[in-house]
Amino acid sequence: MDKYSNRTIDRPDSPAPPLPALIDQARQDPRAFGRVYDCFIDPVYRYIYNRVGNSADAEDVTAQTFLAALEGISRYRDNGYFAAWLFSIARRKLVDHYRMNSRLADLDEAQFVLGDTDLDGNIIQSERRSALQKLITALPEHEKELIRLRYLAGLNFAEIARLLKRGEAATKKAFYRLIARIQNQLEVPYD
Amino acid sequence: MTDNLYSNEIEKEIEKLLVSPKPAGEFVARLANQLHLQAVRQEKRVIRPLFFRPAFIAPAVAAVLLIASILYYSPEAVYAAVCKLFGYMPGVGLIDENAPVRILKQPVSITRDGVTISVNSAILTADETQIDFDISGVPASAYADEEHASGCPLPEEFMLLPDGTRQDAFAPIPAEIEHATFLLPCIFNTLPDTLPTDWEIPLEFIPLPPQATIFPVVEQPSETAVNPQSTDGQSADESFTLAVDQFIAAGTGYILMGSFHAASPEDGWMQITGAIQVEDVSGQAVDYSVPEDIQVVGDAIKQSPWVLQIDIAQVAFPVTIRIPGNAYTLVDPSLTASLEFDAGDDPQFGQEWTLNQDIVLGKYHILLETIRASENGYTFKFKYHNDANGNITMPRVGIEGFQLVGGGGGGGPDGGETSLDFKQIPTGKLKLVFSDIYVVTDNLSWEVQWQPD
Repeated sequence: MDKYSNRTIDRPDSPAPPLPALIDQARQDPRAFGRVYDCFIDPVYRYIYNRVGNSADAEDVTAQTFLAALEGISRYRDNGYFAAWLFSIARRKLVDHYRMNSRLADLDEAQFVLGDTDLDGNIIQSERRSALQKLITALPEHEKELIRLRYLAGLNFAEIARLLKRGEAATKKAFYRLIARIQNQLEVPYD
Repeated sequence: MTDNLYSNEIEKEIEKLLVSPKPAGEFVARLANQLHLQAVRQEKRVIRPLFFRPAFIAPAVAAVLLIASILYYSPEAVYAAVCKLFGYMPGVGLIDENAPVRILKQPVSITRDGVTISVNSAILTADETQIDFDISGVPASAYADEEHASGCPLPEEFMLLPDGTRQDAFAPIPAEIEHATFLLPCIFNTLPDTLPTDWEIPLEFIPLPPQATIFPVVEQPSETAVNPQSTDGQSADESFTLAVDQFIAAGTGYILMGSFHAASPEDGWMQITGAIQVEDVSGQAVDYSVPEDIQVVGDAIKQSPWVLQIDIAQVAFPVTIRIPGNAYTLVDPSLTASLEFDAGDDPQFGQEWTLNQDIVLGKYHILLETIRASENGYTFKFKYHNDANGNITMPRVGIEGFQLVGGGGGGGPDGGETSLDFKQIPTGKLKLVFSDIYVVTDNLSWEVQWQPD
């Protein structure tokens, strides 16, 4: 253990510079990566957790993701799309995770963790929530992934498009068509 | 991550349905520490500019002696001497002007089944090979429709040398080799059997033409650096000084390279906590960029190195460079404290002892709350007594007579944990030794002014 191993990467009361500046610093000095990590640990972990469904695996894959990102940050060149770059690493690590766990067959059945009915809601809300849950669970994987990237990873459409190697307009259109379809189906009486 | 997340109520409902908890604080701290250790190791692996590498130490020492001898007579002559030794080549970075630099003789393209790979340029130095290539004509059908399907996994490129050696494409190529073959096994993320694979592109290298642009790297006289300043009323930390070490007059702008100078390697370390700010003489913010081709390297004295480029057209000199940061200063390294701890003959994984023992290092007090047994060691949980003596870090912990094989830890302003790993968990009566605490001075701001001669 070296003499720096006890240090706290960052202090909560320190100022928060713009993300591009943090990324530039980290590219110059890997020790500055801690600030970038602080910005992304929550969305990356939440995204991965939703894919693997338990905290032990989520922590494992999250750690691998950030270690790989730190290793590669000096080679990061896509200025302006750091989040897309980072989540592309997360997605690769997830694929590795499934492979290493001999669950190739499960790749088509990637986790999509949804919450139970809100006990605080009234009956009508609970029914609607349950119906929504069924609809989302039935979505094909690429549409579930759109939802994950949007709401758990918190990516904007340009970043999602970059990550999925699609056009931004096409991504946005696909997303809102999906939302509209879910809404329409939700309004149809559900058996 | 800026556009509006919700356009209607259904989106809010979907978002509420997604259950993904936040990561546990202990995991976040542990990973943060792991990343820091990795960063320190990584920094040591960084390829240094030629004049920092061992092979160049002797010439560098000779150069310093030469400069010193010239300085005795004429500062202007020093400038001229330095200019001759080191240079900056846009797109390449810092080079020893006396070492050979080679480039691609001409761009090369190869087309197979409608897909073209073009190597546009290459720059070969004694440190590395830079290859600029692009790929065009890849049909959308070559990529997976489904998110989980993966194609060519990693964009690994190689260079095949005439003697059959296959090396990383970015490794240096010996100066006597004029031809090599760029190898690309497959095109990233494309599915198997959709595109040609095993691409081979023959390249030829020639010496850098004499008219190539190389800007001199000028050592900045140390008197330009000024003492650190505190902008929030705290006393200034004098353990570290912000300095501009070198500058380059590159075309329409200046590239400034600097660092924090520690008074001695034992002082501790500096942590940059925010964006670098640059202001002109009237206090107006100056836009700057960070050159991607210059890799600055720090050491125990020159810490947290930085580099930035400003456009001369928009700047009224002198400029003020301001960097926020925290200083971690080692308290007297001779201070130690020890504690007897009986782990018993057979400590069990997860077994925890509550101690609430005050550890005193000089005027600083740290509370050792608990010790918890892990598979091959122990985790120590501390609480700090941050008071008028200042914020401190956790102490270094050791067990006398036992060799560490690993460890980690992390924490926040009020306390944290340190884990020690051994080949086998130490048992029985143990002597714990505590040392090396750092005083943290945070929310500091360092400034240095700079202007060209």
